[in-house]
Amino acid sequence: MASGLSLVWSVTRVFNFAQGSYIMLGAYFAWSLVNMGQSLLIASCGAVIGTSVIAVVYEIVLIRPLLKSESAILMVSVTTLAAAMININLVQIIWGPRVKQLPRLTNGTVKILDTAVGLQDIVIASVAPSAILALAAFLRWSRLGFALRAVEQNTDLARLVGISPKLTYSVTHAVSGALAGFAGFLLGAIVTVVPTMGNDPLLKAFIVVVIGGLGSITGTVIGAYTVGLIIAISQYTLGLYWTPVVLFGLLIAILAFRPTGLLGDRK
Amino acid sequence: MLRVSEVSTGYGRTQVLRGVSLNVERGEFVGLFGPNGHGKTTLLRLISGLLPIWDGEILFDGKKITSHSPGSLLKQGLVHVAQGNTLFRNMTVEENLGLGAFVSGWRERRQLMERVFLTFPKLAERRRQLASTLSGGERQMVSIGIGLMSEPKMLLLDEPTLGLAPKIRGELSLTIRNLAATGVTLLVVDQDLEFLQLSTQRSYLLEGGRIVMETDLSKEISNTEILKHYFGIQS
Repeated sequence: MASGLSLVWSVTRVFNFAQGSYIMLGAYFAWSLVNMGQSLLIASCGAVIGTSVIAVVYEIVLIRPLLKSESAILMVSVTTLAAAMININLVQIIWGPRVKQLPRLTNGTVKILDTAVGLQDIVIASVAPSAILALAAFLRWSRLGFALRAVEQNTDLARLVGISPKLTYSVTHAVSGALAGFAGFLLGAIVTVVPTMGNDPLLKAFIVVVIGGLGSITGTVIGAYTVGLIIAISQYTLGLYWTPVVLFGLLIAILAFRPTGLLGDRK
Repeated sequence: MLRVSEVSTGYGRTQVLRGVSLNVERGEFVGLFGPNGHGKTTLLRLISGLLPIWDGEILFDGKKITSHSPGSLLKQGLVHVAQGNTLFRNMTVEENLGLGAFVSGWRERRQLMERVFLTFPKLAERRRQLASTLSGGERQMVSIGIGLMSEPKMLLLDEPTLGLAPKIRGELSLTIRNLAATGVTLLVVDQDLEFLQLSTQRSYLLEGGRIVMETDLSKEISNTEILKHYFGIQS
C-alpha cells in the first residue's frame, strides 16, 4: 500500500489520499464475491481488478484535470480526500453498516520462539514482499515499467520518445489501486471489515513513505518493516495509547532532519 | 522534406514566434542561429509537437504534421534531440538508448543499440553505467544516441555542443557531419558559427521570433548584416 502511494507520488507528483479507501473497497469487493460463493482466489482477483478500475476512473475524472494547476498537490490532496469520503459513505449505503469479516486464508497458529504466531499473519508477511518484488520487477524489466520510470525521471524526454504521460498516469493509478485492493483482501481477514478500515493503513502508509523515502521502492520496504516493528515494540512496552505518539514523534524527527526520508530522492 | 510556413506560437499569452518560415530539403544540413531567447528552441519544440501551434502550417515529407504528437512524428522519421543533457539520469546507458526505440523497434532495440555504439564507441565501454555518472560529452552522446535509435530520416538538434570542452566539441561535430554524410537530413540550432560554417550549406538567422536572414555561412561569416543582427554591432 505504501508502495502504491510512493509510486503515484514519483510518477505524477501528487498524493492520492483516496488510497486508504481503495483498501477498504478491495476488502468489500472480496467480501461480496465470497458471499456469492466464489473462491478466495476469484475474490482476490475481483478485489484487485475492481479497485484498479475505480482508481483509474477517479484519476481521469478528478486528478488529471487538476495536474496543470499551480497548486496541484494541494488541490489533488483535497479532492482525493473528498473521494475517500465519497467511497466510505457509498460503501456504507451499498453494503450496510454491519461489520463484516473475510475468511482467513489459513487458520491456526504456529509456535515461533515461544510465541504463538497466527498463520494468516505469516502469510501476509510473506506475500507482501513478493508483491513488492513483483512490482519492482515490473518496473525494471517490462516495457510499461520503463515508461513509468521514464515519465518520472524526465517527462519532456519521455514525450519526445513517444511515451504518453497521460496513459502512464492512468497505469500508475491502476497499479497502485490494484496494490491497495490486494492489501484490502489480505487485511479483511484479520481486521473487521468496516467502511473506515482504510484510514489507519493510510496513515501508517504515509508514515512509512515519509520515513522510507519518497520514490524509492527499497525505502518503502525498509520503512514498512521498520514501522511495523516499532509499532509492535511500542505497543508491547508502552501500550496502545503511546504508540501513535512514538510514531508521529519519529515522523516529525525525520521530517526535521532528513525530509526526503532515509532512502528517498533529493527533491 | 521539412516545410515550415508562417508559424506562430508562444507560451501562455506571450508570443514568441511571429510568422516563421523555413525549408529543409532532403539530405540537407541546415543551420539555425541567433541570439538567445529569440525563439530557436521554441521553433524546434513546435515542429516536434511539444508546443501547440497558434498559426501556420508544417509539412514533413509532403504530409501535414501540424499538431502531431512527438510519438507520431518519431514513427514518421522526425526526431528532436532537445537542448541540455536530456536523458534519464537514473537509468543506464543501455536503458536510455532502449527508450529511444520505445515506440518503434522495441523488440530490436539490442541490435539498434549496437549500431549506436558503432557511432559512439565511448558509450559501448560504459553501457551498464548510470547516465548521471557520465561526463558532459558522453551524456550528450547518449542524448543524440537516443535520437538515433529510431533510425530517423531527419534530426532536429538543439545546441549539440553546448557547454562542452573544445576537444569533445570537435569530436562531436565530426560525428554529426559524418551522420549527415550517411543521408540523414539535419536542422541544427547552434551558437557555434564556426561549426555551422564548416557543416551547413545554408543557415537561417532567427531574431525576435522572425527569420531575418538566410545565408551560406561558408561564404559570408564576416557579413556586417550578421554582425548587426547577431551581436547588435553597428559598425
